[in-house]
Amino acid sequence: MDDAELLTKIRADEPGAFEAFVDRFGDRIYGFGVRMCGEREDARDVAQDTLLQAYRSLKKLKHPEALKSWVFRVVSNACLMKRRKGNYQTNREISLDDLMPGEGEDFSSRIPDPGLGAEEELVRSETREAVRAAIDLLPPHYRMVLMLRDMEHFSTRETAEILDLPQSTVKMRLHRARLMVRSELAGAVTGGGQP
Amino acid sequence: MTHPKHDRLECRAMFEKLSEYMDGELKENACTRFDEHFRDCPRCVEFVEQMRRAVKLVEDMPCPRLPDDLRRSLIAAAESMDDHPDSS
Repeated sequence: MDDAELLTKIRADEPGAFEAFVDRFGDRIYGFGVRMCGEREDARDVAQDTLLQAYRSLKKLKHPEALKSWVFRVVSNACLMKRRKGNYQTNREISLDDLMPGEGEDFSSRIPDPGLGAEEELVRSETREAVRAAIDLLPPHYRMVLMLRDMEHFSTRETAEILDLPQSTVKMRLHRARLMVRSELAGAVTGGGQP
Repeated sequence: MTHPKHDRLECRAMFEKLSEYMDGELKENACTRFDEHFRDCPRCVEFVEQMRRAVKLVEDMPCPRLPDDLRRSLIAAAESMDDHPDSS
């Protein structure tokens, strides 16, 4: 079932429409909440609020192609609201100079190659844990852009629309987020930091 | 990211736009400048490779699953909304 068919089913109040909607977006919305809010309980709240709120409002959505963007706009806002209720953190931008690698840094250190299928499960599991930790360390406003662009595969324009930001800000935050993840992963592989 | 053939400014110019290069969001002439730079700057090539791997690892992260009990309670809540559409 593609997005247009799903939307038709929802608008017609067909039996099973909500289950189909949860099947399509439930894991992704919950996962987004877990990564943005950290606490599993917060992620549950975000998933519950988002899925019900989005479903109630979807009948008004005119363009099926906007379905996914629209759902992620709702979940992004829900995560931002959770943040505002918790510890206040400013959306300060990090200077590129602070992310420039040092002159002596060795880039030949191996961040595991994701394409190697023969990777042992233990190594794969450790790598995932390192990636998860690197993502968790990102400032939330960078983490959100990274997730929308590199995990949900929205375009720069779509991400800008979801977050109501200029495209230039999306590009800037994505680049800094990737640089920070790379730096953390390289540090994790080489034993943390450079001499 | 400097290499003897290049000054720091050129490597830095690459560094600033690297994600846009990786994502194919740069104009053709800018991409050409990157490609020419990489031919002579192995450190930048290694750095790009690390960036590509980091991005791929992020892309490949598994998504946490919606807990079954939450799924069940959501569906029950939606059915309740259907029964009492004005209560939401």
